[in-house]
Amino acid sequence: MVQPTTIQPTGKPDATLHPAVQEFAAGVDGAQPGEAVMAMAARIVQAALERTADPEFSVDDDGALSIDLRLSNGLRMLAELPIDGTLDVGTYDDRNSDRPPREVTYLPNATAADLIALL
Amino acid sequence: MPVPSGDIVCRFISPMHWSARENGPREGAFKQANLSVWHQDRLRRRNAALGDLLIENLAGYGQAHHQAGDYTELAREVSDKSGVPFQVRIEWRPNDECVEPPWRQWRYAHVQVETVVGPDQFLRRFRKLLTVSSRLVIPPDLQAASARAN
Repeated sequence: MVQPTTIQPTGKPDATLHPAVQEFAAGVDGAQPGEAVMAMAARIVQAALERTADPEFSVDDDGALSIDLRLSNGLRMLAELPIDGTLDVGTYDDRNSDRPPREVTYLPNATAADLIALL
Repeated sequence: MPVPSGDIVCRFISPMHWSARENGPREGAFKQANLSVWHQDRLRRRNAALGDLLIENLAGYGQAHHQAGDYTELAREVSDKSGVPFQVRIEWRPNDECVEPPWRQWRYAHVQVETVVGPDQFLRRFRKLLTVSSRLVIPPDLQAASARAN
């Protein structure tokens, strides 16, 4: 798990300096995210750090940025931003151990704004 | 031959694909075209255990257990909801090409999950549902993983 580390004088974390965002920017096998995708990544990470407790960010072998967090309403959110910028977001209700987890929302072609609206 | 839908299978999860907050797997653990899993009861019947397999590259890995039928049911759910044809099968795969030498002594319990209809890689929606639907999880042993890395 990559932990947020950098706090700006404003008190807000600077997502562009977050280790996961930097790792995502480095790309994989010579392929790197473009500026617009990097802006999406930074915006999403910034919002997640500001609005949720203990969000987890990781970069997979294929270079995609994965976001795993718990919303304030108790739902779990899973999102993935590959290098090509095709973001998908799901929210899941796994709070009742007597029944299987349930998909609440799934957005296959989400924007950063779509994701942030769910936070 | 398909694995009976009520049987329990285990996916070994690397520490880097383990969520400490959720105490369970992350989506990256299921980002595969052919997913190797292991059949718990077949191991037990031969006096072996899932933990016996945590050697070499698997040292220190955690476990995420599903019923075999979860894989096919979740694939059907994804296909129904998205309208994208998607179907997986979960079958015995004790073949040499599927099981590397350190684990060949347990090959009788090796199972593979693979796409039958749809893209080679599992659909992202399917991976997410698998991530949240583990029936039992066992965390990684970070000391064992670290010892292997060193």
